[in-house]
Amino acid sequence: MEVVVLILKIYLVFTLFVMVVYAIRHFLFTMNRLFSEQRIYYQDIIDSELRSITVIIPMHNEEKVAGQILDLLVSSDYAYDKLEIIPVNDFSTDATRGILNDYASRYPNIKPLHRYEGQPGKPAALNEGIKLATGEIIIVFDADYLPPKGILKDIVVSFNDPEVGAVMGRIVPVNTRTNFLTRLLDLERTGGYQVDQQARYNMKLIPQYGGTIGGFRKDVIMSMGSFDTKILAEDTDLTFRLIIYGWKVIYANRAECYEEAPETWNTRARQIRRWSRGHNQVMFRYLLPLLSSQQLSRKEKIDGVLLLGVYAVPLILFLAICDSLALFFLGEINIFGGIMAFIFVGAYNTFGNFAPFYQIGIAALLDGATDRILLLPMLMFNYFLNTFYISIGFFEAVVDRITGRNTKWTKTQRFRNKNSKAPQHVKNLSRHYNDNNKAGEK
Amino acid sequence: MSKTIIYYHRAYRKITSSGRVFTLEFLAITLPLVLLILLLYPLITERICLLAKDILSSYYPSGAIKLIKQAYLLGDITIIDSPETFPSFLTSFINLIVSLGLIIILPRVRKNKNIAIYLLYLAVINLVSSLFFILFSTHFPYPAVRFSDLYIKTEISMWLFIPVILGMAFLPLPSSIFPKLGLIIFTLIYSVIFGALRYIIFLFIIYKFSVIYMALLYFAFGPFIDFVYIVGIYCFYNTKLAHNLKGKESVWKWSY
Repeated sequence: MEVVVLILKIYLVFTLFVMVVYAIRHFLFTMNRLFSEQRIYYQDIIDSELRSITVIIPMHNEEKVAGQILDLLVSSDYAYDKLEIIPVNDFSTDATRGILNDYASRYPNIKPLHRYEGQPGKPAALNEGIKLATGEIIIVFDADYLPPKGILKDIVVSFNDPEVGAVMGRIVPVNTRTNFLTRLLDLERTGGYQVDQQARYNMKLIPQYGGTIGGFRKDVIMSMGSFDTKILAEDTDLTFRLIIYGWKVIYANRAECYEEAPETWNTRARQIRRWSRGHNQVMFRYLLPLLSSQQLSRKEKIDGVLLLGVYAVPLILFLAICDSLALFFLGEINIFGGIMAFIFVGAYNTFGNFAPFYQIGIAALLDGATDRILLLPMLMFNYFLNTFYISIGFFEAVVDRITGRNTKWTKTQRFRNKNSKAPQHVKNLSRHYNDNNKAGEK
Repeated sequence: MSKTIIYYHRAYRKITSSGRVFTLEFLAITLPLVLLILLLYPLITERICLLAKDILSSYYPSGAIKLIKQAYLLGDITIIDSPETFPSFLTSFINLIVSLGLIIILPRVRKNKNIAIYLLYLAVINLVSSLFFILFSTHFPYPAVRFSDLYIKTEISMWLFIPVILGMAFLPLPSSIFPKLGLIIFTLIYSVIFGALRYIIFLFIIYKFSVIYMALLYFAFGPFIDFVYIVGIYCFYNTKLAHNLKGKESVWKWSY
């Protein structure tokens, strides 16, 4: 029994160590974002020779949103003859096919690809879209996104830097005010982009390509091989493939684009479970290649490992809860005179694996937010939801790794009314896109 | 309509203060407060226990509550030694059934799933506790006095931690140091008062309703709840500050 108790205590100490490491990471990011020089993106470069681009939009049963994103893309300020749009109808059974055909008949540069054979899912849809693409740069949007007028130019201009392999813009929920959940998700996104991604960009670490509002070089992805259809996080997969081969992934905090955040808890739970499964698949695949890469500095490797581990931390904490419960009933929880128990229980809430409260608080302040900051304590209750579904996703990734089984892509449910037009603030964002006069609070 | 003030865009704005000022303020505020707590915690724990004894005496048999002093960190702490009640088999069994029912139902809840999963967490703790008392009732390691010991030591850890975590959170905010210092002290006082009242309630529950709920009390309503009010106080101030900063150009810098 003594050996068991010792192992349980060692695990708790290990958990504390992991938490402290992530705490330091988040604190450094927050301080960097607040006090250090901010690394500005390339948006001030004006390029007279625009590159040819292909915008790929994977769509599975997207009748509620398909029309809006296509309307916004065709009204973008990118040169018409350099812009190709490939909406990939991925096994849709609703009106998506008809909507895409209708747009194709009106706009020659919209070239829908209808897929009803092969493997469904976003990675497979992207692979087929890329094969068809004629553009030098591939830009990807999810179907629920509402790209403002100038965002394509902003994303593409970074590829004038020959070291850049992929670029990622900032995601902002369009439906923040819909309900309690969307307000909480808005806070999470704020912390994740305004502080986390920008600080990593500032510190020349590894900003993450997020699979939407972003782009990559077509020739690079073709040379590295197409997306693995078994990996559910093709964005994280691409990020690590690029950096391991010496390409830079960069972040454009100024390139904001609205998305539709999940409006029900079940949708959110499924989404985060899928993210966890996909992210952990990538962790198992790239952890060793990352550490042995000759292209990365030591600090990039450390950041890469911590980034890969982000979706493993909730499981570590979940096991630590079970551990501490066992220690409690064995009468051994009082290690380090109660300090350990306290720090452990508070660890996630303070340090977290996504964004601790001070990081989100600072991010919201920089954004010019006001009353929505009051919701911060409620994020703590998301911890249990996140831990539960992320842990399930982790175990699914373990089984994927062992069995090599095929994975099934689960699309995030949409909530928009299909007859609605783009919301007014999206139009405003488009109108003022190139001005520096956005006051902050949405 | 044209705007009267053109703000820095949010993408690259930062504040005018510096990391050096933050470090100095952090040391100037956190260190004295931590030292103050290290100096005062024997007295604070004694006062908490005296208050608890006063309030609980009328619910316990005469002379059942005793104060114990023991060494901890740099001085002596005071804890309460009071009687506890062990659950009957029937109580444990009912708790087991209720917890099992909740564990089956709660994952199926569609609305407010975050709260449902939190309640599921509570139900799992209660299930483990119920099973323990059904199977190993005589081996339960925590008489009330050991629980008191654990609770008081956890509270001391919390008081030591508050200046550190709130120093990290408050001090970078672009405002005068004095309201931030005031709020850290307020949070400490709140924590002491809240911790004392919770201690009394916990002792009352494990005496009146049995120690079967001890794990639930500690894991669900212990330090976790402390973090809720700590973050609550932080975001209250942050919100007030965000309102005050509206229109104040001098606070912000652009990129460099």
